[in-house]
Amino acid sequence: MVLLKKSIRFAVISVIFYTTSCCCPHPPANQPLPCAVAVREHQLRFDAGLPLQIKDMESLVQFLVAGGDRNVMGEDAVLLGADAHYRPLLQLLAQTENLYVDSLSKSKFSKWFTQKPTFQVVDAREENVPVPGAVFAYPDASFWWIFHQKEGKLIQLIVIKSNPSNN
Amino acid sequence: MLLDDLQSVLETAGSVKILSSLKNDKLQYPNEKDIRIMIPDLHLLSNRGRSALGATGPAPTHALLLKVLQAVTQFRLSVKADTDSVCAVYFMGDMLDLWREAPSGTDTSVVAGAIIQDHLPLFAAACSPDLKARVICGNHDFRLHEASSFGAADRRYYFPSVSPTSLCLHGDVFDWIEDFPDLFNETIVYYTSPFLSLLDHMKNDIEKLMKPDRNDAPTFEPTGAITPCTSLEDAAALHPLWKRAWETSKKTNADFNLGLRSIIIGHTHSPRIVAYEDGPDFLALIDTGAWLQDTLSNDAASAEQGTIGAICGNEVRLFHMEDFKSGDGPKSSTV
Repeated sequence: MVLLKKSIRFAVISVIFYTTSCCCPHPPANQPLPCAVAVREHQLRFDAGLPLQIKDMESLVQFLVAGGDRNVMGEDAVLLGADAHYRPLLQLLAQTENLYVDSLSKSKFSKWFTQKPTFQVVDAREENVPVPGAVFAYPDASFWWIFHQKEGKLIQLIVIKSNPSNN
Repeated sequence: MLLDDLQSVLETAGSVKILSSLKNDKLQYPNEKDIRIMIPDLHLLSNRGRSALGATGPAPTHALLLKVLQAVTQFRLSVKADTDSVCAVYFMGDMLDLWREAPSGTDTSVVAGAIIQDHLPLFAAACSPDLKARVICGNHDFRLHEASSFGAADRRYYFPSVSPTSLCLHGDVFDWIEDFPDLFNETIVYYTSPFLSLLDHMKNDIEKLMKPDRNDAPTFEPTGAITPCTSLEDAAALHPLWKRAWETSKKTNADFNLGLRSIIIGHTHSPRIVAYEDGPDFLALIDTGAWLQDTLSNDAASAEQGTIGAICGNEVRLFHMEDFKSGDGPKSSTV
């Protein structure tokens, strides 16, 4: 009897599943890029000059482990694997020879930056709208990595939380 | 002891009972200056959302919950006066019931905005900078982070931050129902909502088939001070999500070289603590319950009640809260 009930339950769920799958709009396989990336409040943002200094690197690792939320830094861990995953990236960003716009599209950065950057970045703290191309942002699973460049050299990094953790 | 202090503070807001508790050194959460407070599933709906789903009568006031939030905020500020102390508050997921409020595909910010608009005092207290609460995304609000005010919302928190022994998450990942695609579940929940009009003719049949033992009405059955089970089968018999929680703890411990000793969840709406201990193995599954005024019928919702979980100094307590009865003063009891 129990088996029969479970079978009926499974059959009904299957029918509804296939029905709704056909009738309803499907979400995109990947999160679509937003029209513009908004630079978030201090709570969800980390600013650092480039090349990264050791002190900034350690603070940024803590920020990333906290899932990009300063309110939980030192109290909770959100991305347990953040240190191992991101530290090599931060080390690359600490080396002057990697701090060119073209460098970011090279294979050494491909582990982290798998998508093309967006140039639509809104930062209401700035006095003027940005010169086109002066600011751009790469997404990864949990953060936006926003770079300011001048004459092809990367001069500033802003990391903001974009999505909840998945680990 | 911060747990006693918290209980005293809660007693100023309403009538408090300890539903369940566990004191065990194997929780490995010995710091008596570090308290974590959990507020489980609120399932908030807008007035329009409740009405569209067939609810009648006045919207719940959430007066008790508001008093609790204000009391916990004052408690947190007093604890944080000692800068070495930690007092972190977690909304355990399903804070907003986005699934029931609007059909799949509706913009999260718009849906969340409608709910927030009808609960402004509640959200002012819940999202106060003085409370600094963490908001966990549940299955009914798993896209909540898309609303800008909830940009910090996340899926799980491990604590303490160094060598964590506790994991706090909504708990839906342990539920077989959640093995189905989100779109499927989202659609089913919307069309089988408690006050539904559309598809009413088949709603009851579907619910009986799909959810024979899954009832939204919370159960607040006291278990008192619990002792750990000595077999995994006994633990699994006490909580439907135990098996997956246990497997998750084993995998997480192996993957990240951790020693998780407790997993804290919401989701089921039935507060209870289930613990297992066998030699060096130990895990406590702490199910923190719910506050469901917005999704209950008017009669059931009229008596506001809910649960609060807290862990500190190798002890966990689940508090049941309800309004003072007329003539009742502030007091508490252990069930």
